[in-house]
Amino acid sequence: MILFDAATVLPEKIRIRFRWFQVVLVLVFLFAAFMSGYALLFPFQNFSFNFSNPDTAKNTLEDPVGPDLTSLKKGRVKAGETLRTYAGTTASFSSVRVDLALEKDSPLPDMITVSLRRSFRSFFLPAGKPLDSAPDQRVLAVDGSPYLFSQQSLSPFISDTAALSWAPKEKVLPGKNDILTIFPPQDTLVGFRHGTLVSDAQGVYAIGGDDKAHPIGNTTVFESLGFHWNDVRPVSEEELGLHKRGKIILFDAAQPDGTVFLDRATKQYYVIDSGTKAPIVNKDRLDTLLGVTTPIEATSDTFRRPVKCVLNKNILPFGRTYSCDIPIESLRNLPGGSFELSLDSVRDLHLADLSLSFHTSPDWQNFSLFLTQLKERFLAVYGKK
Amino acid sequence: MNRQKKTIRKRFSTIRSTGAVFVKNSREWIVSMFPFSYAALLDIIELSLFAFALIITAEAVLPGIISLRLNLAKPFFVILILIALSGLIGRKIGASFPFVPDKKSPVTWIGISWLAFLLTLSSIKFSPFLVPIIVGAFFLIIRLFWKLLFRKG
Repeated sequence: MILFDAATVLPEKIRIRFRWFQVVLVLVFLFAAFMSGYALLFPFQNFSFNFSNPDTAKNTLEDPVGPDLTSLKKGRVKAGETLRTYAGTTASFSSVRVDLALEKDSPLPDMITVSLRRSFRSFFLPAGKPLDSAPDQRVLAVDGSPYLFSQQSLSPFISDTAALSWAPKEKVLPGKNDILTIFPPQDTLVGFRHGTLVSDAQGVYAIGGDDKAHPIGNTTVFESLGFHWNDVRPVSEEELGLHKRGKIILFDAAQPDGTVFLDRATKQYYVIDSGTKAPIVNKDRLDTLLGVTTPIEATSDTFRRPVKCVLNKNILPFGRTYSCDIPIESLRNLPGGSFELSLDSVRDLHLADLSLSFHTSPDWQNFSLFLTQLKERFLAVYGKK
Repeated sequence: MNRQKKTIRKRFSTIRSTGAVFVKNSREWIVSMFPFSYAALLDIIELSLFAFALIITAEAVLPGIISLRLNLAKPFFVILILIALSGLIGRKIGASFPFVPDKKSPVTWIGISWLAFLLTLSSIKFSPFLVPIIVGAFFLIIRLFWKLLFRKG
């Protein structure tokens, strides 16, 4: 075409046909380019879960859970029970289509209600026990070396940077030398506090509740999870080596234990702790945490403003499929990139498939939103504000 | 019977010598599928390369704009497979379009300018004095490789 004329290899007789083929080919590419441009301007994203094959990597919705976080990945939902699942994304969508397919042995439901809320994945966790006492762990500086004092035992830190991830400088207590004789230091070194963000030449990691360093997928994942760049501590290979490598953190991941949230609506601070969102009541504990990390701003408003729809039986295809559309423009300004879907039924159900399709309507408002995001991204990359 | 055998033998001999498969349709010999596939593949590769270059440019200007939605490794591997396939068919029919760099061709200079643009963009966070050094060093290395690969004799 441009670089070389491929038609020269063809016998004269079929060259004209080949020219027609070239025209069709160019039209196909132009159509593909148009569709790709459209998908870029008005993105869509699908998430699904196949209950008959719950452990496949193709499932993009998080494993569904019931009350008390019991697994519902087999799709058996009892009457009055609420199924919850999560989808993590970054784009601003206009609506969500929920599709549900039932197994043949499932009773036909009278009414299935679906509701959607938006926040950060860990902010959806149930409230934990209020932390109303001072921190159990203290950072001591003995002879210039930092130690962690916890449960009547003293453990040396691997470095000053690690110590400062537990408490800010002003909260580090000076310790006398004799404390080392009273509490002989443990052999094991202490690394970074859970929830700390660290970086090396390869990338940024979050120290999880499993004490592992979880690499964060990319900058967009980092920002969509609400983390702050100022909180990232550059560390050496030796410091990072103390923590084993964990699973990669992507859009659908929960913020790790130790992450601090601020509820904008109630001004309450929370810390993620073993699958719960524990309110921080004690001022000393709060000051210590705020000295080492910036809280992620979320809002409990999201729990009061879910968007809902009732699933309707589809006429086509002939089967046990139900669907409904939920406009989510009202959730657009809420912080967080995680969507929680709750499904309530008044009868027992045996689910086969559940899918969520996020759409952006092709209108001027979404187009200008795309341009604004493009401009913001451009300024973020090229450093002009 | 003998005549049929002779015809089939003749056709196989044609396939062996040219790689082309001829199908008789009414009065004329129409399709030579291998040459047609080869020519079609070349055009598909060419258009795919242009599309890929566009995607790479968009990704270089605004990192993440494409890669967040599409794994760029996939189209890259598809193009590689198409190139390998075209090489295979090309060898069968004895046709090829060898890579002959032509300094006078505008396409070469468009390619070089595009590379320089991508390099400048990727080194934009470096000091302004370092950028021309990085770009210059890259092209010097490319030139040395060029001389090594395309030296005469």
